[in-house]
Amino acid sequence: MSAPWVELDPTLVVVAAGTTAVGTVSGALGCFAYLRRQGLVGDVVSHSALLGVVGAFVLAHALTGSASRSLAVLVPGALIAGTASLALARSVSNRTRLNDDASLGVMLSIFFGGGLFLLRWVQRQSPPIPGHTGLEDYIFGMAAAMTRADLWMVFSLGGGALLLLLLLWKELKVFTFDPDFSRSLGLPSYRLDLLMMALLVAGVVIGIQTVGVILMIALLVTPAAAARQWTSRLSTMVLLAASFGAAAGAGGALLSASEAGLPTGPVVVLLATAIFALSLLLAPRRGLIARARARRTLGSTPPPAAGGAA
Amino acid sequence: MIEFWTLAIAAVTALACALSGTFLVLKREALVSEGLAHAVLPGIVIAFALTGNRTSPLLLVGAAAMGLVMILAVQAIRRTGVVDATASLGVVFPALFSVGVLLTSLELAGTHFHADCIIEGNLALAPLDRLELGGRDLGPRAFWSVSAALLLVGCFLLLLFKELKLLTFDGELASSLGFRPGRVHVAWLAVVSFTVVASFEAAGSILVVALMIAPAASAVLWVNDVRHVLGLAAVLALASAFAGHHLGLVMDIAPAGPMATSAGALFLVSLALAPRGILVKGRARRRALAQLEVDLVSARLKPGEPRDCDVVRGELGWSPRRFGAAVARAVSGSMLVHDAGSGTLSLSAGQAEG
Amino acid sequence: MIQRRSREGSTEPLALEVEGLTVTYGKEPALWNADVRLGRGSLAAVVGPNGAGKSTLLKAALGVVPRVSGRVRVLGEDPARRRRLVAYVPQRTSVDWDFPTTVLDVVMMGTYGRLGWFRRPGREERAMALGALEQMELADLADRQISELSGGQQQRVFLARALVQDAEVYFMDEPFAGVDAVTEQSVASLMGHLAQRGKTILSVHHDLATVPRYFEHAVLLNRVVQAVGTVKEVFHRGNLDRLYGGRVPADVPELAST
Ligand SMILES: Nc1ncnc2c1ncn2[C@@H]1O[C@H](COP(=O)(O)OP(=O)(O)O)[C@@H](O)[C@H]1O
Ligand SMILES: [Mg+2]
Repeated sequence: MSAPWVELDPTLVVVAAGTTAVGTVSGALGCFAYLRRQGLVGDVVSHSALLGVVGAFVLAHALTGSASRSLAVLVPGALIAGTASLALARSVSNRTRLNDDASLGVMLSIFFGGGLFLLRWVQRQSPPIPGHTGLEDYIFGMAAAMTRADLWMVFSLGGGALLLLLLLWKELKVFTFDPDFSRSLGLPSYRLDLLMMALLVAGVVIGIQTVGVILMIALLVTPAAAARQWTSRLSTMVLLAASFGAAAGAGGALLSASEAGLPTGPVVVLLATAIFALSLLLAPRRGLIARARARRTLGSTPPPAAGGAA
Repeated sequence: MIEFWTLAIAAVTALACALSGTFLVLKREALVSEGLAHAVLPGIVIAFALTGNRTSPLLLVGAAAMGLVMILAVQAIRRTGVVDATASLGVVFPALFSVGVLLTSLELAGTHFHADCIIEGNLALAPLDRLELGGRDLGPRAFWSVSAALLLVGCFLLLLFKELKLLTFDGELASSLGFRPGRVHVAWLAVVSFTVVASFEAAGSILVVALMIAPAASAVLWVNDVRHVLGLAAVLALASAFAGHHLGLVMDIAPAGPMATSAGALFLVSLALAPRGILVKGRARRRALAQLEVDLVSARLKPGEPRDCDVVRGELGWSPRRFGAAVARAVSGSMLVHDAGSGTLSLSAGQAEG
Repeated sequence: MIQRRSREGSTEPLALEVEGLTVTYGKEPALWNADVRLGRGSLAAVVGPNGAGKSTLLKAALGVVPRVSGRVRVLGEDPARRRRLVAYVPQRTSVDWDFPTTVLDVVMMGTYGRLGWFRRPGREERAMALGALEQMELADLADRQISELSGGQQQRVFLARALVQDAEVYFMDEPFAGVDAVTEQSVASLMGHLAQRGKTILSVHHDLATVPRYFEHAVLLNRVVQAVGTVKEVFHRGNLDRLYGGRVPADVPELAST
């Protein structure tokens, strides 16, 4: 129960660096999904990634004979499964009478159910496939299991995603705000849409080892929703969401290390939720307190922040 | 006998979930089931800890209240006008689930809850946990709790079917007719929440979500009428439950994954074969487009005035291949006459008269 | 149908040439065999009932919806090759005005086409945007969050963005919908001003009463083009009765009954 930052346990440094990086990247990438009103898409992607992770493990075992749980194998699997489930959901809601919510929900059932199915099957194999025990951790996350190699994967994939975001900033911004106008400028909307999907999937994939497929959604939506309250600029919002995510990630790693048996993922999520609650209350203009005060001074004039979000 | 009870629990769970899920799917809030299936966890853990007793019906009610807490919290956040509905759900349910997981990890007195059970439930053990009343064995407790949920859902559907339908298809109309969609809606979601809790122990969160969404989504592709959708969703859910159970037995694994996958497989089959599935609709769309192309060619011709193919094709802006295919269809349908010698098109005699 | 005939022998291309255009989104065609030709400097309204395909016509002219048949030329070329000479004002209600961005930011989006991929707007683009805001009398709102604007101000922000595009042809979707009287005047005078400088404007318009006041030409559309011409020629009771199936709003004072 000693203060962990005094000891600077090397494993803890890796874990804390990892959760911080994950919080930063998913916080930043989550903003665009949030602004496109696609908050829950990330949930479906992360659940679907389980099938990709387990599938890649099985495939690697079948092809090479040796089981590999290295992220170099599992990450591409997760990327493929996440993208496939989104693309399928999209085409179902475009071509049938089912709405987005229903088609996303069905894909969640298929991919997550299939992932569990495959996972349980893998665990039943005899002789047991070495390394299969770690697969289970993807469901609830296991930040403590993060290795240096994993950390590099998080840094490179997350850094790559952020770099793309930076390079295509103005295109992604105009496409998110006003898709019709961006089409009239000649921007390829189909490809930008695909890119947004890929960025979201990347944000999910680097995080599922840490917080697990079930709670991943909170790292995408909650920091973005909190950041949105403080600012009226997209760039500030993305920076804030990244910082909130980083703070929740770092705090979660340290807190859970200081108390034996405290799982990291839920702590990270609850820290992010606390930041959200504070933002909802305290933010200038949009915050509940500021609006209540404005209402009192202005009489019945509606608050300035009550914009379109409904 | 164990086998019988396992199947009975699975069947009743499937029915209760499918019937309550149908309106979620129709009302564009399918993912509320995903939220509920996670948000009730702290309710279950707390109720365990408080009653210290797995058989108390208070447990179900207490845990279901947590679902209602989630719904009210989401509504409250949405009403502030600064966070949209989807995002509010995305903030609230992981937070509640995190609380649940933390409580589980603290292992409050006697509430040890294996992590697997949260996701997959424990159908295999459910028949062994009996409900006893005055020393008499009434069968598995889980059977009675899901039956209670099914009964509740059934009663709600029988009594308030009209209101539910109205509120599902036209929220605004419902409020103008004085049905108070807010109240009916919240009451309905409370019933759904109860169903989630009752199914949770045997089915786990994944199966609850899968059974609520997939059968209803499949049924919508086959039939139109809400009653038929409900009926077909129930049948499909039963089929998924039985198929999944069988698969689980054969492969010796927990049946939740196989059941969810079966429900998903039935959806994919519906997507391919149903009258409103992708394949059938795609064919209809291609046929409509083909007809449209024939009409477009004909619209460029006047009776008794043959026109040069290339000129017509230029006006349409089509590739030779596309134009050729459209003309071939029109000729075989005896709409047009193509004179290969002069390279001209004209309306066929029958068309010209009409 | 040519609105402003170019001088004999001149080969100056039309601003917009739509021939045999058919567009479908799946079921019934949204546009059937539409022909529209607009000379440069035209100030034209697209008029028709809801769901008539008015927005679709604009989008086809922008080259952003796939067409089943027909040809679209903007200034004599495919729309995809004329993007820099075309400005588009989407329907105001088509975007989320709670998006975290400022007035100046939105107007600067008008420079994105010129900037091309990767390049960021700089001082020059900023100056252009400020100039356009000045012109729309919004200069003092430049740093406001867009959700704080009134409907009319939002519409003027969109117009300022189009001005920044410095185009030859302007496609506008209901720029007069739901705006205050001040904005209505400023939109109308902006259109007149642009048309005087030889710019071409094709604007969806929902208010029949003001068509003769603000526009010189009209396209009457209800899935098929019923008439194209000067307002004097085509905008009369007979055509409108046909267009709206006899349900023309009664308060259209300036209609000559023909
Ligand atoms: N993206 C789309 N997908 C499917 N149908 C569409 C789409 N956009 C428009 N439509 C349909 O096409 C028709 C014409 O639409 P639109 O051009 O928006 O009409 P208007 O602008 O005149 O009201 C309408 O029936 C509309 O429902
Ligand atoms: Mg329109």
